[in-house]
Amino acid sequence: MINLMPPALKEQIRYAKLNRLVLRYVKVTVLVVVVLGGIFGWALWQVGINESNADKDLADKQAQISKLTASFVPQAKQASDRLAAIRYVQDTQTHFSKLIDDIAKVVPQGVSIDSMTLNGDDKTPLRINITAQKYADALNFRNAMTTSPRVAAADLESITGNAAGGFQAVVVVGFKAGQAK
Amino acid sequence: MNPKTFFFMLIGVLAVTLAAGGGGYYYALKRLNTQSTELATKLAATKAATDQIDTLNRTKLQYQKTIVPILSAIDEALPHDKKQTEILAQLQSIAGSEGLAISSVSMPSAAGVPSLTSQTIKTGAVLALPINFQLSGSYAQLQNFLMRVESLNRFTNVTNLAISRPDKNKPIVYSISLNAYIKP
Repeated sequence: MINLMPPALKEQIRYAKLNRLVLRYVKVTVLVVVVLGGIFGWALWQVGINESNADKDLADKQAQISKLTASFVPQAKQASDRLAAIRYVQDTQTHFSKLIDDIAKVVPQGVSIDSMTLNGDDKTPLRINITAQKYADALNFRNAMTTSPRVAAADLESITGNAAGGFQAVVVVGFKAGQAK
Repeated sequence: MNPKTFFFMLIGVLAVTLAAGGGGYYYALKRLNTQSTELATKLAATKAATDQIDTLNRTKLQYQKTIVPILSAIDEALPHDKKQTEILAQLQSIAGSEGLAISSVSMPSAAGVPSLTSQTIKTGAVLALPINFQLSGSYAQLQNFLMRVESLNRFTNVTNLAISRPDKNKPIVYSISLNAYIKP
């Protein structure tokens, strides 16, 4: 069939056909944009609600922490400080009752202690002045001191006879680490 | 309006819709990402706060169960002030009951105005009230005295013990330096 319509009209008809197609695309595009917009809007709204709930929850919890911290932490800290202080005292405490008992256990018959000074320091030697009835007793005292589990070594410094017929002696004792208190 | 003009108008509308949709998509996705990250941070902070509350509550419970019942004993063992007369009376009482005689007692001079902690010296984490005294008696009495001092309900520490016997016919003389501890 021969189309006798003028070219201008034919062109308008071609555009009219194309318009139907493009209009369909426009509708689909608008629909997709609206649907996506709706989905994103809903998601943002939900996230906003969750964020606001999280803010409120966090504020409540922070208030609870502040209340607990103000009411209980200072007491706990004070108790902790006191316990730490007790530990310090216990760690540095001497037990001279046990120490002199241990020394007394090894003092042989015929020897009496005239003087000694305990200070709990195992780096400082302990100087013991004794009176022995016999010369051998003074030697025995030195030997007996070395048998004490606390004593590392003992030195005799002097033995001097006295007017009463006995002997004055000086024995220097070195303690094992931590055993002088 | 002829079809050709309408066609170009439709193409324009389509282009604008696509551009607006694309831009909106990009913006919304970016905003969603940002808000999600913020939400995750807030949820993590909430979880950390919950854990902190749990820890504080557990510690509080433990404190009430284990520390509160012994607080009075702790305060007695390590008093807040020097309680000078109490400790001196205790020492006198122990010495007396062991048959020892306290011949002299001395404490440091107060550096300033007398207070609940005057005459004390700082020793590590505590304050110590040094008390120097002289006793006379037998070796066995001294042992018992020291044993009882070491098991006092208040923390004390014999820092120096000097034993001397100036006269063989008289009791042994003991010079004792003792620290009575205080935690203000």
